[in-house]
Amino acid sequence: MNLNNINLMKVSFILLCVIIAGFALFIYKSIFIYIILSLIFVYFAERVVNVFENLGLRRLYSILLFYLLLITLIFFIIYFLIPIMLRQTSIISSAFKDFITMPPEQLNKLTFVQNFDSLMASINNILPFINLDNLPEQFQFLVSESVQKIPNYLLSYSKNIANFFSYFFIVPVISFLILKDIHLIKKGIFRLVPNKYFEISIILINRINSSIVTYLKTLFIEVSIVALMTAFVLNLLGIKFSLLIGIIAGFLNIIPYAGPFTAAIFACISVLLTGKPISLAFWTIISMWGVQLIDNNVVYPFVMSKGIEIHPLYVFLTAIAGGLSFGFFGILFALPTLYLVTTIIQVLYRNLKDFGII
Amino acid sequence: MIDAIKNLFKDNSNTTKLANIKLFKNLNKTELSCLSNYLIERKFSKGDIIYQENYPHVVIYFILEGNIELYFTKNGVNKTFENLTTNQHFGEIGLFDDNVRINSAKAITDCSLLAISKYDFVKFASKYPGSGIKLLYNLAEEVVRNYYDRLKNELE
Repeated sequence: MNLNNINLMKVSFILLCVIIAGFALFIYKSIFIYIILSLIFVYFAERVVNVFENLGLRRLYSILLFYLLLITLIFFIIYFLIPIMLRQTSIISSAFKDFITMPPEQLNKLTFVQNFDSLMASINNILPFINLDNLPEQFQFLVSESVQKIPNYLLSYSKNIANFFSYFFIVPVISFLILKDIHLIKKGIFRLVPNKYFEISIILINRINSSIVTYLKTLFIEVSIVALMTAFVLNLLGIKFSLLIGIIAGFLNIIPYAGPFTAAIFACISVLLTGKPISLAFWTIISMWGVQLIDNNVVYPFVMSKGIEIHPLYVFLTAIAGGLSFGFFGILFALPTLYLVTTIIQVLYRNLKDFGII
Repeated sequence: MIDAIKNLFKDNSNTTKLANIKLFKNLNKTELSCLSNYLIERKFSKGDIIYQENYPHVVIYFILEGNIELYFTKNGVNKTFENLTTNQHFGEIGLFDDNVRINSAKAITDCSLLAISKYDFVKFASKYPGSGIKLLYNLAEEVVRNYYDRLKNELE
């Protein structure tokens, strides 16, 4: 009887906790995303703050110094980098606009169209059964269709852009409070872990953490190197918006196989539409291919000494699924997410087995 | 559970308690306060297993209160290896060895322990090298003393 009473009390207490947790989740759901973003921010900030602490600065001063450096960096990007990017973007966008609105007679006067026409004429001579007439106009229509979709795409993201500013102010404030008391928060969370799972939780957190850090470091180094190399070679070729294409190529490099290909196509079209000859577009492709060769054979093996192997088919399927569910950002973040989830599962499985839990 | 929630963001490890732990001798109040950021308090009831033989060793424990038995199992029989009490520590081998635990630890009374992972220990030592050297020196001193004691016992 007594035992039943105890069990009833225990069940009632757990039920009460679940109800309170559910209610809290309902109340806090609107700020849930802020907390997630703050935790991601803290994850990166903690590393920099640790470096300052290692140099002998007190934690509070280290955090303040980090924020000061971050503000300086944002200031630098807004005042120096963004104007360059905007200038380069406007060159490309005006080139696209001119191309779309160009009447056919003017279109035929473009260097690359003339070169293209002569190339098509020679192909037609050899293979007369292939109809290649009006190909430049068809190409113009295709570009026009794609470009016209961009404003709608941006509009659908306009709400997110408005939200971005609220995140911009709230996330750093929450992060500051977490960073200041991170040791207490960590200790508090560990205190909740039952004794049986205490040691394994330490191992798991440490191993998952080091896997994530290794992967993100690798990703960051690779994106930066590809962006810099692309910008450098395109600059050597005399392309004005080399920096913009470089940055785009760097980020697209995250998408396996299709990413570098898309970047090369984008670079090529941009070169052609600004009135440069076909030969330059050809050299652009060759140089971007060269960058890929260096990336795949030198940079990647060097920075990723012991990465996990994921089958290309699985990579492709994940990228497609990511794209269908979350659009462009889904494609971009599909592989990093796949990698991280696979690593976490591997680490969990290995360690839970070591501890005899599974 | 309620206690755990109540103490969620409360720091229970005070520096006076830490100063009594043998391994922390020579550390000043500031150093102890920095170290306390990495120490996690654990409570065990009498008879609880703290860790088992062949588990990966990653945690070093300091006894704030209570008694601990270190033992190993041979042919299904537990053989006591060492009995430890308040202000002593165990599990430090993990700092220098990546293999698994060679013994098990059991609480023979209700215990209050402080735990630090080897990752945090190394982090602390590299963040505060002066304190790190003191800790490693104290540890080495203890290992040498234990070695001499055993040698002496064998010779006698």
